[in-house]
Amino acid sequence: MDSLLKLDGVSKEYKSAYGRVRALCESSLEIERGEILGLVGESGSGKSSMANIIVRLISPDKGKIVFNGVEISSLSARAFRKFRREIQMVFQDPYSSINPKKSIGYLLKECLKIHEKGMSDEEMERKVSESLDEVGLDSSYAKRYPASLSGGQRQRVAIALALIIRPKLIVLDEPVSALDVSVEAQILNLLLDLRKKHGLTYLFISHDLNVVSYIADRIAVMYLGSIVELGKTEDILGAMAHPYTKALFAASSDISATLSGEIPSPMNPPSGCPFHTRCIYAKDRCRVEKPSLSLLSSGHFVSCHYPLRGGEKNENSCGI
Amino acid sequence: MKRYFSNPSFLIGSIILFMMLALLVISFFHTPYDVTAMDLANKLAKPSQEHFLGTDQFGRDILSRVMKGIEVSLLIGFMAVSSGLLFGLLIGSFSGYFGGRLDEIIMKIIDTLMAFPGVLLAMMLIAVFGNGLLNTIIALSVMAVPRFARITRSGYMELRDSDFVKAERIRGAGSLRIMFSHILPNIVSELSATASLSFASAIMSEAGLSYLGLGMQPPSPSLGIMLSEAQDYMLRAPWYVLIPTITIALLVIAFNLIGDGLQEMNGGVK
Repeated sequence: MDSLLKLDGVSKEYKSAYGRVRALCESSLEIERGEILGLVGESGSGKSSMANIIVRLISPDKGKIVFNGVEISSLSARAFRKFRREIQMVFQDPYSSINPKKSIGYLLKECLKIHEKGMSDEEMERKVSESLDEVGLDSSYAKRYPASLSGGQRQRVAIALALIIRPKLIVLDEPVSALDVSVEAQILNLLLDLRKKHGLTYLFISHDLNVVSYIADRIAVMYLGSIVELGKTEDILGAMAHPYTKALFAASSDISATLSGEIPSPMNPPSGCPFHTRCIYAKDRCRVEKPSLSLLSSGHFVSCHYPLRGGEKNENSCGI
Repeated sequence: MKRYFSNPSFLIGSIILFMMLALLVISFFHTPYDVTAMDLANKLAKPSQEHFLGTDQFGRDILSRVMKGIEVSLLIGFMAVSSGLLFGLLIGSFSGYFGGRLDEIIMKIIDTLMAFPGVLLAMMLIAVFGNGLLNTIIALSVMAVPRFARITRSGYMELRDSDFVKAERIRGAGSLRIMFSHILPNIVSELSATASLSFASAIMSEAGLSYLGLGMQPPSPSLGIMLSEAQDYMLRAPWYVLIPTITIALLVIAFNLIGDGLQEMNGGVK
């Protein structure tokens, strides 16, 4: 398989007034060229930290990030600059992610000014209206300001802003969760169309499992800074192997109904398997030994000592 | 624009300021008398048809001198506020955007400056560098810098981690572009409110300094100088002292009202 982005053992801790917060713990992930990888998990699971590390808003404490065959985590800010245009991001809230004081045309043109030095003014105008057209807005929107746009239109603008410089990878951080349900489907279909047209790769972060199952080719499930299950969407939906994944999908809308207890504090993560405090199948081994992400079946990974089989608990899965 | 004038503070302030500006513009082309022309036979005259607001102790026309005095006040206020704004903006934006050790050092200096009473600080500067128009402007702008630096800094600190700034970083925008092309337009409204309030205090400080003999020097027609000269004739010619007082008050009130109005419209609690 041809991987576009590879995270290898990436860790990140934040220092807060109350102590250290472990956001990512030795997480590894590969995103293949042209795929949509869905990243799901509760809030506080480290999804956003991972997104921020990929677009280099924050730098990891440990681990390597390889993009398109080049290790980008060790590059200086200056050397990274040419990779800026390859990795773009769309934020969750289109109301806060677009500068309210600038016209849409100004912002789009600015992307070109930064990355396409020496482009003529007419060429830029043409590209701006082309990119607005691509996201389903006509060129008159270039003169408008964010305040006169609806949430869906703003998110279209945000997508145009990410797309105008033709990146290879777009990190979509909950791109539809701030939108009305009626607009949600339009934006998802727009994203699918654009991927086909430009051969894009998406990392699609969401807590909405319906949305992720609809759009993603593969799904990665995160819990407390680690990836606990990873596989093709149909494999995961067909045979969830991690108890957490199962609980998460069982309770699409209300996780606390099927999971007992709160998500543990990332300041004081549990020993052993991070999920053992809430897992109904937890055994002594889970309390002391941390499972690693291991291959279950072709392309399906899980980090659990006693993975579920066919939706049922298999007592013998570990040969005990 | 309509939104601005529906705010009563802003509207009243603007009307007063507009009248003052009208007097200022007229004074460029015409004053009833020469501001320094003395007429000792006619000193301390009551307001009459010849001297609309009376004359002073040398028989100079008070209306003409007030008109020129407004010019001096507004000129000094404008120069002091704009240079204070410029430096405050530069200091505050770098300090707020980059933070860290530099920010700590700069803010300690700003706090120290703020701890001095403004007029005292200006007096010290004038005592060291001498008086005159330029030094008065410099002293008043030094007084204005901390306020602008603080407002700018807090705006930058608030916005530097906002989503749209993060989005700009991801798009590859450099720090200067983010600071001045993206963050600055978002704090202009707060800065303009502060500028208006600072304008009022600069006018008052200039009058105060001139009154104390530290700002403009006679025979310049500064409102502060007029006030200090007039106080000796308070009983004989009360209009002489009242007119510069009311003029200063109107100017200060106008800028304060405009500043308050701007602040209210920004959603500030004042």
